[in-house]
Amino acid sequence: MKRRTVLARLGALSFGSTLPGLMPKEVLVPKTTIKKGQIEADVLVVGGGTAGTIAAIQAGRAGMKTVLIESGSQLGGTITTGGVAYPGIFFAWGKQVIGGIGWELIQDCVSVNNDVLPDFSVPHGRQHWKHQIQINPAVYSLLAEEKCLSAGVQIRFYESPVSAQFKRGRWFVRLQGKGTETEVTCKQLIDATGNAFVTSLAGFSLLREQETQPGTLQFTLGGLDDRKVDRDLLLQHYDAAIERGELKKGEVTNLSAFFGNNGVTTPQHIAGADSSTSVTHTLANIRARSSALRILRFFKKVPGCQNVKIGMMRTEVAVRETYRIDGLYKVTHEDYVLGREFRDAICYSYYPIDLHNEDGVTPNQLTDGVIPTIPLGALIPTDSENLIVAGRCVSSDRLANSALRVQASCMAMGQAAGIAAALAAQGDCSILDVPVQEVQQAIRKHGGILPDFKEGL
Amino acid sequence: MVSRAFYLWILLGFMGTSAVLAQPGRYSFFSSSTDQLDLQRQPHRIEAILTEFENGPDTLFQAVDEDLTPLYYYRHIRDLSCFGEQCRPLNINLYWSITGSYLGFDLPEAEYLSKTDHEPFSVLEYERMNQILSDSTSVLSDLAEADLVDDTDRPIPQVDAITGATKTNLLKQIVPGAAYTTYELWHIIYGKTREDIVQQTLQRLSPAILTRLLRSTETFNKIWVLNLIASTQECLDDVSELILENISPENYLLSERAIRAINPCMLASAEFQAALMDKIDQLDVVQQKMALSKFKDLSYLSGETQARLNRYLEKENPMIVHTVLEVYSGRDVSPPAIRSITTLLEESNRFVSLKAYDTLLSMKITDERTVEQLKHYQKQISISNTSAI
Repeated sequence: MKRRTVLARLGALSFGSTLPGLMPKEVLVPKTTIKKGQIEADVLVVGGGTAGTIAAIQAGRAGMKTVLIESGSQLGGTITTGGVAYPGIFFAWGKQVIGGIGWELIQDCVSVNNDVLPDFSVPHGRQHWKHQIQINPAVYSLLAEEKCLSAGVQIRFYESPVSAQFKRGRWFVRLQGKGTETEVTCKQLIDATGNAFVTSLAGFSLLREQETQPGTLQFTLGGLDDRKVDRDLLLQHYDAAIERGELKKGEVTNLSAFFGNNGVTTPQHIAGADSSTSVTHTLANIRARSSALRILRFFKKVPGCQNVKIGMMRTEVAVRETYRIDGLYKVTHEDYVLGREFRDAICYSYYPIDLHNEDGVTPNQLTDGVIPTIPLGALIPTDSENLIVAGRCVSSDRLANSALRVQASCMAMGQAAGIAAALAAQGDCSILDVPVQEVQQAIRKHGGILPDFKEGL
Repeated sequence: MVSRAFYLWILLGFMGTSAVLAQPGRYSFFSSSTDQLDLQRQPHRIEAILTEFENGPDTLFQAVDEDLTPLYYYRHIRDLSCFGEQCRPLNINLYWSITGSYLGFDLPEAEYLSKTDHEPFSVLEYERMNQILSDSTSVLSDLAEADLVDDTDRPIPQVDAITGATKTNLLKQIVPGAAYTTYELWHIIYGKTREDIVQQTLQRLSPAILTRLLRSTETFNKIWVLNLIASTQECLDDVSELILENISPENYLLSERAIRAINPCMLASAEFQAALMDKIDQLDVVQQKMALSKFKDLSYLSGETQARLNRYLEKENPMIVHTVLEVYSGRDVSPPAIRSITTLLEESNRFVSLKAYDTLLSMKITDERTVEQLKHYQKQISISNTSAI
């Protein structure tokens, strides 16, 4: 073939490929630019964890145009990503006290996965965990997502807020995501981040303890057989490992609990675990995973435990406490343990006072018959408008918070926040302008459980 | 083997408290479970079943009636109870119901349980032992034998965030001075023996056993048989009414299990559909949803069922309305049902109106008026994707 013909044919081939150097069916795309967008919604829920998922489903079922943003890849928060998949407590003293959408989701998880509920008619005594429900976190994630979509909720994963401003009766929230920047204009904003992150972004004060409760990375160790282990020797090795710095004091809460651990809980504490920013959350995860590796290596050196291996491990440390809002009302320890029935109660809560610290945890059970309630005022940051919080960061003192931060209570708070926001969006007013009786009636209409207020409000 | 005097004391046990057999030197303690009434019945035969247990082969005894229906089970436990270098035999009979729940224990004549240094149990300690053995949810299930050693001088915190079993709390879970005996007996009762008993009972399963268990006053038995029924798709006409009896707000778990046990075969009859609808009215919304969802997979909905489902379309709870719409989806339903669904197009709550729209579309409605209403709805609301998911 003549050289000129060959060159001409090569040129034709290049032209046919759109640009020189490309293979057939390859196209050159323009350089990446951040895709900017704008959304209008009735209700924006920030945080797709335990409370936020329920809040979003509720707002959607109330007919509101609802957007739910979540920084991770799935809904469920501590239940799914954290792996703390035994929510409770929904029943108190033999009767159900937390129902509604959260309970519906749990019941569906149990039904779909052929799991089993506890017998709530048998008192749990000091073993309150017996009334918690073991569910499959993957199933929870699937069903939560399905219910959100069924309720018409627009879910946006991998996004976080970077600013939140309230102007002219609307919230303007800028979101940053993977390759996206979006501004959401909404009538009502629900902060379900668990860390009151949006509340803080919006300029409101937060409260924090000098020392927060530790977090836990859920993981299991396989290959451990307590029949092959000399207990005294195990403890000697533990003492020596602490002294040599191979283990950190306080990071293991119960050595023997690693034997036969089925992953329901892990006896590990990570002091100061904080999920509020990427920096603090990264640090918490790295410390938790380093701890898991230390524990694994420790057991490998103990005679009889050489076959130890990691069974499963969640992708993030589960966090118990970071920040709390400065709310219209702060639930106190006394309120909680005396079962104070607030006139603006939006749900019950039932759990022992459960403060984790460097010594572990010794739950303090409630007195017979006591069922605490949570008031609407604890969900609303002081001086805010059209903003409501749900989940562990509600306004409460530390001891009360240690009990009401648990998952069943968070689900109930989420539903209440969703309804309050929906009613306020409908009326295009502040949440505080909606009569609380209306909020309470709507909660009941959607299956939530509240005290019977005999005298009326 | 059990004696006549023993039956008298079983009766006293049934009246609410554990009892000590009057016969001198013979100790016998039973739980307050009404299953122990089966122990009063003279068995037609005792079957000896050689079984491999955790500690090796042993005999599981099965008492059966004339129809070879199991009445109860028991094992003779023979072991050594050692303290230091001194050992004495542990000689005790343990009893279980046909579903594997613990009934009680007795000891052969002149035998007794003992503690540290072989000190005999007091009556209170026998009662305490029986109480612990009756607790299927004891923390003993989560403990290893090594955890029974009192090691209070160790610096490691012993608090377990799940079991709550501190060294102090452990004393409440055992008979003091007889920790290992308590532990060993508890694990025998709730270990492999229980599984083997269930397998033996399943081999002799009959409608009579299902009925007996559903009529039991013991929740454990009912749940056991409801779980069993839930795994089958058979009609089980003999027990379908008994299943319905357990659907009520009184015991959430029992009600939930009963709902799960209902299958399409049972719901094929109009009478059973009506009976279930009667129950649904009494339930909380989540169990209402569970029960209403049972109608989804049925090929036949009676006229009465449809009329009652239509009333649920008027409920305030959007989730319940959604559930009924899902039952109706894709079906030929009565004109009143279509009218009820069409009314929902005017609902201000889009979650409800959109579902009503989707449901009507799935029915391939030809009625002109309804078709017009659907077109009107479509214009009113921007619909880019008519399916909810």
